[in-house]
Amino acid sequence: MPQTETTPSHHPPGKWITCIIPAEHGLDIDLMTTLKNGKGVITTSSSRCRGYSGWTVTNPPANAMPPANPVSVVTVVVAEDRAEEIFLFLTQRITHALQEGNAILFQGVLSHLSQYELPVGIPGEGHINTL
Amino acid sequence: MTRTMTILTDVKLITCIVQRGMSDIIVKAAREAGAQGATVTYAKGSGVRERLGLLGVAVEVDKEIITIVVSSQQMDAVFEHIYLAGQLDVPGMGFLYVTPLEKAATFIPNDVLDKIKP
Repeated sequence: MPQTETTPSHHPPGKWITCIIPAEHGLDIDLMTTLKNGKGVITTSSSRCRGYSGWTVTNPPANAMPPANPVSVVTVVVAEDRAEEIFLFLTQRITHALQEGNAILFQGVLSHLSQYELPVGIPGEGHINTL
Repeated sequence: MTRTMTILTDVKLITCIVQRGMSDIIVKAAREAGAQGATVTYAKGSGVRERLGLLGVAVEVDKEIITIVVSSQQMDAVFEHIYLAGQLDVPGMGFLYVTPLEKAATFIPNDVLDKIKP
């Protein structure tokens, strides 16, 4: 019986951008929503973590633990040719948190990246069903 | 109003995966070596033995993942401090690795900026 060989389709080389931001005020949801609606980027995820930031502490004792704060880690995966645009977009969205020393944003290179698309034509998608 | 943004380009990401409860020791060691921040995530590990044979040391399934952004200059010192403080030479204690970063943006106090400007 003949076998069909399937090969995964790959995007051009990609990049990953991680934003570590305060967990309050739903900033992570805001970022993910604006990325989806404004930039068409759906390859994002968010998780909650414990963050330590040295910049926000004035003269901390050398041997003491800095105070911990709840943070959200938002990871965005994009094609290489859009990385600069998305990085700049994210810095503008979190400018306030960056200036207060409560955030950091960094970018790295991905060696492999698979394609990700959402299914289309699902009835009722995008509508909120109310009873 | 003009705003300026400092982009750091010579930076690395250190990721350390250890047994739950060890993150305070790791963060403290990283800070003593010069790291300015860290993030701790709880995770579940798999693929490890529940007990390490003759040693009888239990390997916890619950893990903590510590991520730290450091400058390339600081990387070796922070890496070594974490390795020693976390006793990562003991089987089952954990491991760490370094990922190169293209760039990073964060708040840097003016006095620190003045020191690092060429």
